[in-house]
Amino acid sequence: MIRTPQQRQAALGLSTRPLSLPRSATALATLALLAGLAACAGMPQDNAALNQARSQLQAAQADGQTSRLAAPELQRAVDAVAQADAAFARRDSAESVDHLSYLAAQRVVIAEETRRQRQAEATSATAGLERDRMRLAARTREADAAQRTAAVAQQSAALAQQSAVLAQGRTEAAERQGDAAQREALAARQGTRDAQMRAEVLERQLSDMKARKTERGLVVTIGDVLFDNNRAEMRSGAGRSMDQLVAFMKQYPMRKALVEGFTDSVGSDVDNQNLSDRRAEAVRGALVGRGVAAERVTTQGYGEAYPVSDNDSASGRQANRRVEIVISDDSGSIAAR
Amino acid sequence: MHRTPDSRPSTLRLPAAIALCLAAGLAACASVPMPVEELAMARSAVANAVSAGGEEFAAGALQQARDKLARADAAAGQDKPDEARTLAQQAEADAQVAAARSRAAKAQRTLTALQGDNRVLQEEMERQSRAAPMPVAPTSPRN
Repeated sequence: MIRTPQQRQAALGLSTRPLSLPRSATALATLALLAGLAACAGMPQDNAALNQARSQLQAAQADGQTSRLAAPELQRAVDAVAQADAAFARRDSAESVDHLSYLAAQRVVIAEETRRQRQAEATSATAGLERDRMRLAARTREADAAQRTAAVAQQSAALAQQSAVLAQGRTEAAERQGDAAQREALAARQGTRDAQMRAEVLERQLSDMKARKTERGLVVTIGDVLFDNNRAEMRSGAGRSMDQLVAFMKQYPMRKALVEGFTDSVGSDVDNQNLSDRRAEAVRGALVGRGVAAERVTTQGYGEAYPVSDNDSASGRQANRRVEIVISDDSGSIAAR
Repeated sequence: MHRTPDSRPSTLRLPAAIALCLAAGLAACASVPMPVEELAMARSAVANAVSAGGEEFAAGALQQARDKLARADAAAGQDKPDEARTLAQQAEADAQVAAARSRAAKAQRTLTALQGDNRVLQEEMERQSRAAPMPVAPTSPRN
């Protein structure tokens, strides 16, 4: 180890007590001793390496983080600088002070590196907490989103189902309504057509028969000209009128016919009654003979009653000699005179 | 310590005294045991620095420690114990610097990676919250 000059002198067994040596010898010995000492220990006034170590230490101490986060390492640096200081104060060799100063400076570096490490670790801990927090938030959000998506999907499915059911219901109802409406429309059209046709046919037939509408029903008058004078037999010319009437009766099976006979006022009432009866009966026979059910046709003779014209003239009497056929409506009833 | 202290002042002759003085002076400087312990500690510190990642994170300081350790070994082989001790102590200090620097660099790297992760995570969350705002309930069909 490096020693102080005092220690070295003691180790050499030199005392401060003067030696009984010749003067020249003493001088030589002193020179030699001084030379030896000078070889071992140079004594500079200032040491650059030590100054450097001191200022590095001061900088590290000024940074509160180093003393807080790397206290043991900083303390070792303080100790090392103190050692170098002590060596310098003892006037140890420059090499020795340089060496101790180098070690001290490295201790300061170690303390600062340790502070860097601890700072990074502390920040990492915070960042790790932050990451955990964010991951938790992300997971929570994902879970929430998934739940919401599921809920929305469920809702959508329910609504879709509801819509489907409603749509189906509406479709079915519309179809039913449509069908019914169509059927009704068809029927209505058909009915209209039928009614029109019936009306046209009837009108044509009635016009052919020269029928007239009265409160009691349709009345077809078969004039006197179709009968021979005072006879009940119909002339052959009446056949066409009969055919038309039969066709009409066949087309409207619900309707019934009342055949009424009339005469003029010439002759006795009894004769006239008989004649009117027979003539009405003749017409009924013609209708039944042509296929009209017998129960649908009734007869009634009125004699000279109910004249349609005066009996004073030949034309008036001719008009009164007649057979009227009253055709009922579909109810089959005919009001009496 | 093998010294031959001669405290008999009366019998000293001049050449002997001079020789003694020179020998004593030299012995004071050179007669030091080999720094076996210091060399071992330096070697251990270098190994420690390597395992701390010194090759990657503190190549300069580690190389300096290795150089000084090699020179310390060489000085010891040349019977220069003081130089060997000095170099061994400095090699140990350099290796400890390398280890501390490596640990600091690794901690910093870990932190940087973590911060990068956090940034990505943060951006991802912001992107998601922009892309997927609160879903709107579908409107119910008109009945």
